[in-house]
Amino acid sequence: MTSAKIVVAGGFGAGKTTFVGSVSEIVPLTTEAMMTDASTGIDDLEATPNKATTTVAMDFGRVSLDEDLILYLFGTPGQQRFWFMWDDLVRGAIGAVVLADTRRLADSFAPVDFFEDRGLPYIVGVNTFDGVVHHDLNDVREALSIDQSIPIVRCDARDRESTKQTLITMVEYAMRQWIALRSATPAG
Amino acid sequence: MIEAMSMGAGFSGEHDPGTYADVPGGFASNSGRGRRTRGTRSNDPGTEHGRESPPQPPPMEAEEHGETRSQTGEEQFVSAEAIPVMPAVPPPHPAEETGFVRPYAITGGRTKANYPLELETLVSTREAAVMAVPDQIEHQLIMEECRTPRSVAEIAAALRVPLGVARVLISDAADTGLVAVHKTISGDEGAEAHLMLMERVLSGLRRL
Repeated sequence: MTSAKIVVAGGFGAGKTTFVGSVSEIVPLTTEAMMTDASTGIDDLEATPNKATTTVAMDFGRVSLDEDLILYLFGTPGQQRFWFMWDDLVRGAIGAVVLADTRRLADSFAPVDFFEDRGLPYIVGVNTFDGVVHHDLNDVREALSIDQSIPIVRCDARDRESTKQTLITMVEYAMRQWIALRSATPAG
Repeated sequence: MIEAMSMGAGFSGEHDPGTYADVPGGFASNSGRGRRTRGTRSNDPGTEHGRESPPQPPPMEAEEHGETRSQTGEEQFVSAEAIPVMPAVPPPHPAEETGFVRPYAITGGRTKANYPLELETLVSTREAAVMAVPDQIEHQLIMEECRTPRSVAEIAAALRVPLGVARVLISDAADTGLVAVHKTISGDEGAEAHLMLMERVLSGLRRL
């Protein structure tokens, strides 16, 4: 019995929980984490000066892929200034889907930067609310200034097939990345 | 320790409204939920009494060790419907409180787990331990939850405790042989294993 993890990132209202819920076999659950001492001083508590500590909530879902393999999809915490959960999220993850709302593309900068920094494979899913695409995908790529090799796909977070396809694209990309990295650096 | 203190303040806010009136209510309402769902509050006279009595001086250290509430704690255990097998008089243990408890009081203040427990790490109840009745209510809940394998994140959500607390509780339950912690394939160890995992996930997704 083993498990795998995929991270779903994006700004507030980008559709993370909807995305997770569209393939999850359980109603997305919420788990909370408290900021630990280790991250005090790193995370930004300026917005809540009276608090010495804080909690963040993450929504996640579960997909049983075969008899002994469960895939978990974790939405990143809503308040992106709290980074202390992100290390837990990316450790061991296959990769990430950054859900972009083209009306608020700037919300995608932080997750993109974070995954670039950590070397976690990610793709961008442009959530097409009501089937309306506000931008050309190339414009999105330019706005996010991400490499040509990183897939950008349209997706409808409410639609199971669309979510499935987005996840497949991500895993395929993560595998290509993995193999490319391995062949570039001699085993050792 | 700091976070445990503030969370405790949230809990105490309900227990002792006069003392912590300035504490933001967010934690209290959020974290209290889980406790309430076990029905401990409605049928526990001790808690009711505590809320109506005049504010007492903040029992800072005493609360940490459960001295102020251990008397009512026993009643709560007995009345909890979900665990009929619980012995009437549980052995005293700092983590035995079910009232309004600072999250890390459940773990005796410990924050470290003995196992690499990732969010997605699977935990399942050991068959040999199915009949066991652990002293700590959280261990019972973990065992119930993990009859089919459950992730650390799911256990934390089910117990309504922060992840760090869940990790310590799971670690203890594993130490005492109640549950087994499954191996988690992380990117750091063996590239081959990670690649194989990705292949399995990919074909699993295609079959969905």
